[in-house]
Amino acid sequence: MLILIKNGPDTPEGKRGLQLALDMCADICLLQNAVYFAQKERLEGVCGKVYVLEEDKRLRGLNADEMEKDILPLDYDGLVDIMDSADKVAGIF
Amino acid sequence: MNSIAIVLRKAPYGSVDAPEAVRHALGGAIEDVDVKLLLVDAGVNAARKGQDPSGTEYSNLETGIKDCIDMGVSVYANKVSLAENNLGEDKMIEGITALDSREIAGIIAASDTTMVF
Repeated sequence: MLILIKNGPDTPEGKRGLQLALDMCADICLLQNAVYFAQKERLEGVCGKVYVLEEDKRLRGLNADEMEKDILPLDYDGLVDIMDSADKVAGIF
Repeated sequence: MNSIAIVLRKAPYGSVDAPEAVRHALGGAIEDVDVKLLLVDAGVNAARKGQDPSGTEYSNLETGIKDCIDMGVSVYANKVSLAENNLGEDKMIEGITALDSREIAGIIAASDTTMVF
């Protein structure tokens, strides 16, 4: 299961998407303002893989040193691939 | 209208709020209005150094904030929001002053007009 999140950590929508992923131990893909979730200490308890869209991260000036480790960078083609290979995709929160 | 406080609450690039706040701040500065741009909540992310919109059609908000400072706009960021958004002052654009919530409220109270984005 893959959950797509585009809203930031300061929004109810973004928090809802993350909670759903925690509850289902799903993989997560962080897009647009959701890339701020990739900062340290915002993803506690996540048990699936976490992907972040590299262009949205670079756009917002987020540095590698402030990111949580084990987060997998993606480009758009990679996003299409993981959506295609996932058994189920839910989003976009 | 002599003074205006522009409050930016939204993160850059996710919506039109941030570029519109910067555009209005620059417009006020050109008209010799005393403009104060207040970055709060996720809006403090507009103050982040190293924003890189190359290859996209987004206008660079970092450049926009620097233009505001150059044009005499006073730009402030709320300390609590900076901490919540993991944005240390070392990662913030030079020329932005960090204020606590009471000081931010004081600026809004003292301004003729307030706009919220």
